[in-house]
Amino acid sequence: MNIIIDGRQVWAKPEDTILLAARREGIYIPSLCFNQATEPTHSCRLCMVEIQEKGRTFMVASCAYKVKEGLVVTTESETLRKVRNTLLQLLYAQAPENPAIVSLMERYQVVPKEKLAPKEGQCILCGLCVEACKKLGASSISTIHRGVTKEVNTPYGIQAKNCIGCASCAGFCPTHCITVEDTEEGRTIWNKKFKWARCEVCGAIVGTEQHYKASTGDTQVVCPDCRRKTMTDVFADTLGERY
Amino acid sequence: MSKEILVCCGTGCLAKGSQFVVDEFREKLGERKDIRVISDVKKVGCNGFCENGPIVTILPDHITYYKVSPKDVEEILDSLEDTPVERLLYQDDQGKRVRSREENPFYAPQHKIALRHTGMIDPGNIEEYIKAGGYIGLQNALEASQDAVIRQVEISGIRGRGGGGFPTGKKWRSCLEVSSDMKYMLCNGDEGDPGAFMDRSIMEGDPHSVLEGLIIGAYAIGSRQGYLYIRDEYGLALHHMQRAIDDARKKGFLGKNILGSDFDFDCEIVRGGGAFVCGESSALMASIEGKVGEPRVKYIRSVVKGLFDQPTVLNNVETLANIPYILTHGGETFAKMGTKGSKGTKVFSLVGKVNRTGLVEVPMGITLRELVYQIGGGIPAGKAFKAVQTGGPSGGCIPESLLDLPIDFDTLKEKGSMMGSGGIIVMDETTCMVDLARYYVKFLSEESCGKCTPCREGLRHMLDILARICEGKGELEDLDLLEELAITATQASLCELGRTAANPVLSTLHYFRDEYEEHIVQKRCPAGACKELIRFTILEEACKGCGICAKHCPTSAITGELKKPYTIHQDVCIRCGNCKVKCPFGAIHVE
Amino acid sequence: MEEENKKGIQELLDGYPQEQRHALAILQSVQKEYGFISANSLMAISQYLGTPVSELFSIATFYKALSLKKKGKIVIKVCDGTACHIRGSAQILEECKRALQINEGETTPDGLFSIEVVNCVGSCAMAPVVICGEEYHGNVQIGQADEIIDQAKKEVENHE
Repeated sequence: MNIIIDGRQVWAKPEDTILLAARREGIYIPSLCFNQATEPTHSCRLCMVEIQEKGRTFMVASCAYKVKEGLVVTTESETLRKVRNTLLQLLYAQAPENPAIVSLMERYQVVPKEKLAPKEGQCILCGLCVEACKKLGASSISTIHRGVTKEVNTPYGIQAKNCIGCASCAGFCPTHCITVEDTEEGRTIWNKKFKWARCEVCGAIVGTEQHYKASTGDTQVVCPDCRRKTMTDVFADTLGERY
Repeated sequence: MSKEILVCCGTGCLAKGSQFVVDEFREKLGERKDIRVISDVKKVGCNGFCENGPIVTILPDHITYYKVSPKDVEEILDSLEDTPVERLLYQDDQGKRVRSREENPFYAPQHKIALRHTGMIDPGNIEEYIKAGGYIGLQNALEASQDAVIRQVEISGIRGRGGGGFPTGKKWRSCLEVSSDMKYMLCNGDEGDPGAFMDRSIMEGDPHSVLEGLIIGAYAIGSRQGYLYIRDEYGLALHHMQRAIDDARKKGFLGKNILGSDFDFDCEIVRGGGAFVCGESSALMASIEGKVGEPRVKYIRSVVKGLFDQPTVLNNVETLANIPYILTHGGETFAKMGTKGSKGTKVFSLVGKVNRTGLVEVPMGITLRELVYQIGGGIPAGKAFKAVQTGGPSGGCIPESLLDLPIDFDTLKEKGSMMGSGGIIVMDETTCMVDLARYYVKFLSEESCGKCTPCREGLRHMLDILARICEGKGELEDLDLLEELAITATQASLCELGRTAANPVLSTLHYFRDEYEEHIVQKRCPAGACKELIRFTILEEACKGCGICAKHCPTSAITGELKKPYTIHQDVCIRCGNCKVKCPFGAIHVE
Repeated sequence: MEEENKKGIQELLDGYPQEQRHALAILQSVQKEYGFISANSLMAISQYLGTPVSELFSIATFYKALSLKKKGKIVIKVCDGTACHIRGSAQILEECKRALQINEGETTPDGLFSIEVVNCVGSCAMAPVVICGEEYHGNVQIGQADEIIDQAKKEVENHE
């Protein structure tokens, strides 16, 4: 179907959100909590856009609003500029000096307000880490409490029994605020220490022991490169083309 | 002629010992064979006038007694065939003792539809409900088509009584139009608005009216499974509702082939977990699904995709309580009352700084002045009216200049407030509007689910700013920042809690900006409420040197010699106000 | 003590179907039975429902009806609903805190009393309201908090 974004006709699929359709077309709408690989959380609200419906203008979150035939969308306006400004201020106060937010502030020429007292840490509570852990990890972290005391942590704040050290949470975090300490021996994340599993053939690190086991179930540790080599050898043998 | 004795056993009167009154009546009646009563002393639901409980009503004389204690029982029994006990009757504004509710200025203007049985029947007895005309509405509904049932609700014009004010008929019709094998019919009993207790009273006092409304709704939309989400804190309501469900099942009003039709429907109760946000429909549904009560975006409405992703209708307790009436007497009868945009009656909880507090059910369109002064009896202790808060934490304040505003959904919204669940909190000159805004923002900052930035962070900073202003550390630019945060929360929040969170701040700023400025510029709290900005001093001329204040001071901040004026030491004083309350000569002054 | 609880918790769980939607109800039953939700019970529920512990922990900290810490024998709930607030509940809370020498959310060292601030119990016409254990006290006057607490203390002593 066709929708209109900023006066341009944009092609969209029936189950698309405005944000997805816009991104595909190269139209920029800012967002911090959106990631196509996980369930959306709709929490940062930076992606707000204006739509025209029944002669009135509404502000909606483009990461959540599904497209309809003939939908008219505006991504820039005075109202949106003001909202984005305040939202960035609020995000900055949660993650002071954070590069991801600073770059957005520069793009939209937003100056941080001193009156907004900064919070400790750099978490903007977008919820992506929790979703990533659900999908790719072991559901070891979650949001606890509610309201202004809400935070992300493991149960009781101690090392989680089922955490596999995959660090998907850190990878998805838009403000890079999850501490991952990687050394020669292993990794420390969310107060838990892990040992590296190393490839039995070449010695390369394939991930933490628990992560490797969880994703392959193999007792033998072989890295992807060596695994590929083994497979090509097998093919070569089968097809009689060994060098 | 045989008499009937009704004793109120709603939460309020029970707290005041009405069970002991019941016990005393039963004991005395057992001894006295000379008195004729129709049945055992009847335990009825909340009469909505809790401050004056325990309340006892005598039928058929329609005599109502207030603040009854077990000691009064003997006298009441003696008076049954004689003149009523004067001192237990209500005294109207002219000082006259009145017998019946029709003469009581609190009850007289009321027109009970949602509360039609509450306080008159025993909520644990389904037979009484049936005798009072219960389940006729359901019978009528089952004999008509789904479309005809919805038509009646549409004609009645009833709008959601929980806060949203969405036309109920429209909601039901849009769900009927969605074809699905599984649909859910839900009741919202998570009354979380502080200051509101009408749903509690209805669930405690007339649970079958809610149940009947739910079953009718389920029939109308085509649902065979329902849930009643009831606040965990409402123990008595939970108990009565469960009893009602069990009894209704036994009578064939619930279950398979209801009243011999081919309509099946059953329901169960789900207890809330203590979260105000779970009154929001999508959060409520998440809670029923066994998850945290976080709202979801509702661009696709719940009537299309709601509980467990199925078409769902959620209605408030009071809304459902009106449905059997509409299906018994017709939608037109209901529509005869109220205003053009808001039909029918509404139960308001009139509380705060007002002489008569309690539940008031009146047709929509009554003015605030009538509510506060006629029904409420005005402001106690001769203090001046300041404002009224409607709609709870999602609403705003209405100042004196708007006292003649006819109350309905649209007028309130126009003035920067909203109906909400019907809480009307009356405030006088001793209420600080800045402190009130801070109170509501603090409430919401704890109750917000915390998922989205504008609500969670907006509230966090607004609370900071308001606290600073109340401590005398505010600056004028703070007001601009407050407005900016408030507007952002209104425009960008994910759910209605966030979108309405700023209303208390915006409306107090709008109508009482001067009070904010006085806190900031003069560092003064005109209402005398903000602790950091007030001082307690002893007026030398009035002080008799009795020393009572010093005795009651928790921090020993008052010193002096007997028979000579005492002094309050400001550096030790924590401004608790105990001294002012205890001083028999009114010698303590707040500035 | 731990073994007893384990058996008790299992019995409690067996009363529910193994469906996610019962998570809140189960947690509330555990709360009612044991006065709080222990780490052991979280793990038992997790196993029973197949729900990750982190999710159950999230639920346990989200809802105010659930508590991870054991509360006092008698919980004193001071209502801070709007009607109670403007009729002086903040004052009454301070008095309770002073009388018991603890803050809100805390329990006295002898495990007897806890103070909680609750948001509207629906008895607004009798504001301000304090619920001491199971008993509702309405129209609480300034200076009355000590009386209410003393009365409760006496009742506990009489009971024992």
